[in-house]
Amino acid sequence: MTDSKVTADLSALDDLALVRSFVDGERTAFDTIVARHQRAVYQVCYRFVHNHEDAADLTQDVFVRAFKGLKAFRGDAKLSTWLHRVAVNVCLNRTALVRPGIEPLDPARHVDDRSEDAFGMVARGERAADVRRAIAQLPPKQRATVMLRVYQELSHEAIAEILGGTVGAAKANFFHALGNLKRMLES
Amino acid sequence: MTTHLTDDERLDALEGTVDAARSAHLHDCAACRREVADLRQVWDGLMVDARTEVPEPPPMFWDQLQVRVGSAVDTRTAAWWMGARGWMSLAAAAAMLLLVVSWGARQRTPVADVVVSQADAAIETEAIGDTAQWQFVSDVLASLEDEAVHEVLRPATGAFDDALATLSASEREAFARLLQAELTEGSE
Repeated sequence: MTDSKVTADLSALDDLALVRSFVDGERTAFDTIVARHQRAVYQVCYRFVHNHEDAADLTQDVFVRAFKGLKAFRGDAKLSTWLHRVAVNVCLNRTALVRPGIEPLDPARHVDDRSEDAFGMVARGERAADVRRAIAQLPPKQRATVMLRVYQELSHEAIAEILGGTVGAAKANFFHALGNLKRMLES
Repeated sequence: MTTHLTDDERLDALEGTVDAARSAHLHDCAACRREVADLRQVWDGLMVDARTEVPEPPPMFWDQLQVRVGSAVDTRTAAWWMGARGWMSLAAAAAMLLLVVSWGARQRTPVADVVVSQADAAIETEAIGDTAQWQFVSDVLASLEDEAVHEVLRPATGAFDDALATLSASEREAFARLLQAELTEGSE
């Protein structure tokens, strides 16, 4: 079978079948997993560090860990949820050591500016930077909860699954995170 | 009058999922409305940042990522093997040393006591040669072809230096004494 035929066949598999194929020794199945989930993982990582270089390193680290850990993946959760969990853990571990270097926001590049004047854009950019700085100061679990709820728009159920714990605990974390952010943004 | 909203219910109100009965309380209770409004203010601040899109990485990034991950996996696997090989080389070097000592012990009588540790523990090499363990090693080696023995015990390039680097000062000293003793014997 040619490489392109193998790749095409693997692309047709669902995530669980890809994992089984990889565990059975088909290494190219892992390449397909990377290709399928790299964008979502990169976005999670970027939200933690706010710069491409670190996000790229983190994304690579997430998949290296996934490569080593996939043999233990049982399929109880979706692969995307499992990768989210790995990504959040990698990001929390890394950013616990080094506070993120937050790039100054370039509002003209990143936001929809069709109905906003320059003053509004700058004010919004400053406000967003304040929010990021405040998020960076949150305790790790609250920070992860905010990232997943606000930026990834995941449900409290999904967040509980990713971070471990109950839905009630996930909601409580989010509630306390909002309270802490309020205090920090007011000060 | 109903009780105020719990933290959980305030969050539900913020996210629009609070049930009808509690929603009615919220409608009537200024304190709860204020609490929810405070949460909404923070939420709106977060949404300002959340609406900024993650910038698209350089065009080649996605193609390169698979290669980068593959290289990183291979590098880490290789590093693990290098570590394992280092230990195997150390074991091979130790086995060679013991063979040399054993061989020397068979060549001379009486044998010299050899100091092998900082505690000055002396090993009588004649006695080593008589033990059941050494007999086992000797039998195994005797059953192998010379080439096979060489292949098994041959350390990797640089492995001997690596192995020496892992020895403590006292171990290096003992090792030097052993070598010196063997060299002296060999030259006599």
